[in-house]
Amino acid sequence: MRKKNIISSLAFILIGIWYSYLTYWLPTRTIPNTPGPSFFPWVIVICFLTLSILLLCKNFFDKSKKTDKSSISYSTLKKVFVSRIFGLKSFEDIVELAKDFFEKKVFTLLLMMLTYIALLPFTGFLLTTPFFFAGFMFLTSEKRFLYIIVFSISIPFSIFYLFQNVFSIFLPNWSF
Amino acid sequence: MNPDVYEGFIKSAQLLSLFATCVGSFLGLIVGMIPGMTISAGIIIVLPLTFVMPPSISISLMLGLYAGGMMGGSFSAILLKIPGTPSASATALDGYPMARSGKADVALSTAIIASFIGGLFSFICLYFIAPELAEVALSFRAPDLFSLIFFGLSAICSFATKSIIKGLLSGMIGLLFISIGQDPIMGTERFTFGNADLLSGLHFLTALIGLFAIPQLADNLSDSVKNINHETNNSNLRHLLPSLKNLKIMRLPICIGSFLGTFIGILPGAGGPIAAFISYDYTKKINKNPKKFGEGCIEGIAAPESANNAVCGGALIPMMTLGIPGDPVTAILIGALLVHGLAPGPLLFMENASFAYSVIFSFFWANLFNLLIAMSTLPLLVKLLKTPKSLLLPIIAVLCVIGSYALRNSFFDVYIMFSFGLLGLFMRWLDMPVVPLLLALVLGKQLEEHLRIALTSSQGDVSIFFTSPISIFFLCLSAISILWPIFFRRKEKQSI
Repeated sequence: MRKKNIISSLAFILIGIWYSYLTYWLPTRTIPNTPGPSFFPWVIVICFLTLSILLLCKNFFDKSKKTDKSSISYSTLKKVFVSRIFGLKSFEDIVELAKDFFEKKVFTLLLMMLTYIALLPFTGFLLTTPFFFAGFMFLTSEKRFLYIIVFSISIPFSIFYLFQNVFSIFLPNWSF
Repeated sequence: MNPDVYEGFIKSAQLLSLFATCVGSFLGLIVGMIPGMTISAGIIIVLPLTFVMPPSISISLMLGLYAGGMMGGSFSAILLKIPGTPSASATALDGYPMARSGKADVALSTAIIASFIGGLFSFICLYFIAPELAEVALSFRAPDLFSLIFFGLSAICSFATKSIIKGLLSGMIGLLFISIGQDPIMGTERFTFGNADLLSGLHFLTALIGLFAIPQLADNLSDSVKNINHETNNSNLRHLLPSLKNLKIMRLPICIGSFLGTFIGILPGAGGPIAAFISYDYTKKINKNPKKFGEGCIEGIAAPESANNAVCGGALIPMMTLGIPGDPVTAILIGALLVHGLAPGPLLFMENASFAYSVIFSFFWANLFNLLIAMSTLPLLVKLLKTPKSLLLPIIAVLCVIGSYALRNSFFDVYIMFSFGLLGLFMRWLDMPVVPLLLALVLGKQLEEHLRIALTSSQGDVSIFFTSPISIFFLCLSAISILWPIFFRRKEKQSI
């Protein structure tokens, strides 16, 4: 968790700095003695950066108590510094963190969903959804192909009919 | 009789509204019962349907789902020892041992009756307190409203169970997002990058769908891969009417649970699980034979069940009168009402009083339908526990996409929903609570608006927040709300 916290707090600090840069370019105030459009974003960014730094400090100094200061050489100092800054000791750590974040099946689902929503405006609901539905069913370890085919066609068509004709919500149709 | 009350009752008792409440209750019982499905997810699923319905019908559907979900959560807690909702966790302590000893019907009937009475009690409180509170809230000025919303946001600390810093950071992320679009006072473009879709800001319902549904899909997908099978103790579900003796036993626990549940529901951020555990604990303490708790006693089911259903009515009080959500579900309800152009708050009782009363009465119908549906169809409902996830999960995914698209007929919202889904996964990976972000998304815009109006009227003088007694009252409550979890955690650490 410490590694995660250090990486994320660094990411938050970067986001905070970027957000401050954007806030800096916002118009300040138009009526004297009144808060302008940039007032609230400044309040947020100050709190956000303070909290991010607090999170970083809390995790950064957490482990420092355990190190042996007497045997610090330049290379160990460098190692410790890198590990403190990024919370990582080796490439394996990065792989481990990535694995931790994305389970294989979850990653596949996200990829499938991304493809589905990217294609949806062009191919329409009826053409794309059955494929997405079938893929998702397969992903949930459903192995009965007939079952997958029947439901991946019937359910999207029923949903389309229900929304279009009963609820009058027009879902995107193919637009080649 | 007040004509608005009468009109509200008639609206809620229309055939279509009653049908919607009935469907909502049925869906709620199912959603609450299925482990891994939350009430928020259930409401998100039906959300796209509500866009085309009149507001009174759509709110009836969602209230049915809300109350039904709370009751349904106890069924799986009793039969599987897996609480369908977090609020039903305390019910499992005595419900499951009772079901294992062959008294599943007694446990379930106790849960159903206690839930109904808890809901009924909170409906009475909602009916009497809400209009009075709304009238008081009408006199609030900008500094008071700022302090009130700040108090609503201070509930963030209650949700930050593991780390206060992470909870507050989560809230700040939400505030970063609400600053996108036109600013609420001058209409100046902020952080839009020239994108016309961002001018009106990010719709918080889109964000909500992504934040709640996608991480939940991911969780359920992992579970389905691990092939988690549940065995139910539903051998005897025919005698669901409680005996007179059992009704007598559950009298006091229900009173305790109903009262505590309603009170805790009014407090922003406290929620069902806390109410259920406090009621359980208190009932155990005052019981003559506390040793029987945990081994399957009626009191141990009645107290938490009445409490978690009473929370629903309690949470509706600040939502309806002050526009402050008490939990994620009421936050979604606020969003759903906003879609219909109805802003919950004191003005709702002024401008749309009959609608406000129809919401209150719909909550009553929801509780009544829960009782009737649960009593009559429980064996069927229990069978639905076996619904294959291979069908359920793709349907949820497709409905999430439709829900975010149908909000404004825009694919941009679908992409935003997906991005928030990724953010939700990231936050879960980081052990960062999502609810503070949600609270900030719901309340952030109003917070900024009232802060700036107050400061403009005082020419930038901050002391305006410390001159009004109402503002001081809410600021003090906020301070307690922020400091209490810190103090409580420190005390807990010391005791360890």
